[in-house]
Amino acid sequence: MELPARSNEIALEYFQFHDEIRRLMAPPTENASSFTALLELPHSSAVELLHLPEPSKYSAVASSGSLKPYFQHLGAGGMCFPANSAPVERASTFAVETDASSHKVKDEPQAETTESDSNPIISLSQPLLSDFDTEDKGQMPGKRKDREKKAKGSAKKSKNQSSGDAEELPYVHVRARRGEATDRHSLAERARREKINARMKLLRELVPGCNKISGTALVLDEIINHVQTLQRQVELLSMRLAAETPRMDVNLDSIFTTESASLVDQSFSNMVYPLPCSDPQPNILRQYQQYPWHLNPLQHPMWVREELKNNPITSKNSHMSDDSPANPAAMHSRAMEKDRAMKIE
Amino acid sequence: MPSSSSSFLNPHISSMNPPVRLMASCTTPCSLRTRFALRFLKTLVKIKRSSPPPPSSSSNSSPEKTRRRTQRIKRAAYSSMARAVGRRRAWSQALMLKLKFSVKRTNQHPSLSPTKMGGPQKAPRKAGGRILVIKRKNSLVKGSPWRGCSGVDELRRLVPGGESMGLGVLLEETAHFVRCLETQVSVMRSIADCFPC
Repeated sequence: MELPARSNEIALEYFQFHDEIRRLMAPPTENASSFTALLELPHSSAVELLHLPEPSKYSAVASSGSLKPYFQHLGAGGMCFPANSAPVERASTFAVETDASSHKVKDEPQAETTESDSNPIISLSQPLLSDFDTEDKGQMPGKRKDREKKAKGSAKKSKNQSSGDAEELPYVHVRARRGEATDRHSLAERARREKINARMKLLRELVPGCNKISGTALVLDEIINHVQTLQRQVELLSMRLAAETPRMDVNLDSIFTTESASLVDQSFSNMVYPLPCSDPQPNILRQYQQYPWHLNPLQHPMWVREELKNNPITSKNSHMSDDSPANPAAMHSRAMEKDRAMKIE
Repeated sequence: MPSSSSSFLNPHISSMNPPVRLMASCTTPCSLRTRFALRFLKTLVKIKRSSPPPPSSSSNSSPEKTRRRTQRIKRAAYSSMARAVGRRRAWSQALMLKLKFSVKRTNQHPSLSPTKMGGPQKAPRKAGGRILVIKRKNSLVKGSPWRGCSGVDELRRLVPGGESMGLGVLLEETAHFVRCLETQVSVMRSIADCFPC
């Protein structure tokens, strides 16, 4: 059928178009709570946006107070888009979509002309649907499905009645890519799949060693392994602490009994500043000189943290291999501690 | 100067323990790390005080005692981490509930071991008056790479509260959970390293 194909083309073009806009624009605002807030427009002009079916409304948008100064050089046909922020981009997406959908019913040739105007600007070929989705929808995951459904509902409505309801809820639109199905279910599924892929990307960055692995099942196994390793480390450390608890410093008691929680917090904040992160080592050495304990000056939490990050993932069997080779003394002490703990048991 | 800046707080702060300092360095005052460290240290002190050290400081305590103390410390670590995170995350809420539930259970039936959360698929639980119904959302595992994936079930078992989350939420919670676990391990390690071996 002609109409769905047309919408696909429109969709593709608009995504490429908006990608171009985003490239040229400042990073998007983080407030994604309401559509009108995104627009930074007064409510009335937002509603106006929905109702006016002509491209001249873009100049109306542009002329409204907050969006004036920036215009894209696009389109000879009077399609001027303010390009200063992502909310405006979303506004234009929405506006154009209702525009397009209403045009589908009424003025096909007009839509075609407006669409063809944006053609010369398009130079991209990669759809950034996932990024778009992540950016827009990552912040409002719960409501997205409702909004999508409402959007589709309203798109349908505007198709039939060609009178945009004054929808005041924020809409986040999912656009169909070229050649993909456009029915509700597949759209929703695709959106969710992209959301899940975005989360997987985050996890891959978090868990060391996952970047090289391709395929979600193996990455998942890696993540599970990492979590289990961490939990095992917690168990080991709690064993160590249980063994060391009788030998804990008496000052520890005094610190927490004599001072209130707020004071300790204060002491935390006071102590942070004299010990900047940029130069930890001389301070640590100074500290250690005060105490008669024989401590490895390299055993700093920052180093510990780095050590954690450098842990090889392949150590599935031995938990002691988690220790980094950079701290042989630490390893030795830990090994001794473990042996002692084992002997106790 | 560390000692001069903090000396006004406590007369014997010059002999202040390095763990507090070590953990305060490199982090902002109100970060997760400091919040967790503070809570955990307090609980540790409590545990230490409740189990008085034996007269001869060598390895005199029975293995049973050490094991019990290990369990207490482990539970303290998880509960202080969950409380440091607060109610912002689903997993921390679930973890707090689980720990509370297990404590209640051990108090009622000392013989019973605390059950791990996420065993039954549907289980009504009461938490401070609210009733939680944990349902398994099966519909969200439809996409092709996730279809026959046993890893997802395993992940649900690992992450507290994972049984009742959808896949997207599960992955997000996993990411935060992993980050908090790393913080926990590093703080515990720095505490453990501060004391003489």
